[in-house]
Amino acid sequence: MGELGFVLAVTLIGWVGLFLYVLRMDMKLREVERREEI
Amino acid sequence: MTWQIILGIWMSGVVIASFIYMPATQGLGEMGRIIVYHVPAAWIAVLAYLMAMVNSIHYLRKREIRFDRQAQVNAELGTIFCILATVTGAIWSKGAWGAYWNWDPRQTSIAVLLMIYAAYFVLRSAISDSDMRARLSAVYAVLAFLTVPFLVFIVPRVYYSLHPDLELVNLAERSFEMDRQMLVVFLASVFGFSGLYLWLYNIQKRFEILFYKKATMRRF
Repeated sequence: MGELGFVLAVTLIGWVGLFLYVLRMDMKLREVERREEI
Repeated sequence: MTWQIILGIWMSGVVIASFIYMPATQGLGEMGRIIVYHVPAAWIAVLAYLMAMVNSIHYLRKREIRFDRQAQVNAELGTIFCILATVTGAIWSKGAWGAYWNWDPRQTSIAVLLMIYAAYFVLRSAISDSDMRARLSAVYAVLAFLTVPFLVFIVPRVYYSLHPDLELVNLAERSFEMDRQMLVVFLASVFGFSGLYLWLYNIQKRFEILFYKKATMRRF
């Protein structure tokens, strides 16, 4: 499990990082859209 | 925002399952786990390029700029997923063949495909007139997609390739070729990747709409 566990951790951290980045971008875009509507 | 959170949890589950629940593949060993990322990425790339062509045809028929924007967004996403498929393929290649790049027909054809779509973005950035840009890039996107079936499905099968062929279903025996646990994780990954594509498409499209709106406002 040693090496496999390391690859799992790297892949999982990579995915969670990417997910949070895209989520943040989505929320920022929503904020700008709301401001544009006002 | 709910379905995005579900997607995040879903794909985290896929990542964990691909290392813990899914067994190592016969012949490919632990390296075979990359199939869960490599194949769905390639599938989404083909889907996005297809959608770029469909939107380009719509633009050529109706001359509505929104179709041009949607074609551009799909071409961008197709290229991102194509790069992901290339990188995961190169990682697998290092483990299975001993080098990241071997100029195998699969690798060569995906490199050609990436260059064809890189030229699409070069073409777009080279034309300042928006109507001319939309028209020319729509024609190019249609022609570019015609090469996709040849480069992705035909060329690697015509020339001798070390790349393993993925067969999900054995039609003769009416059974699944893949191990059941592996099939579950694989299909969950295809589903998750499709959700990720839809999400990214939605974000990129909204961004393009805002960008064009601002650019139009600046002009007047």
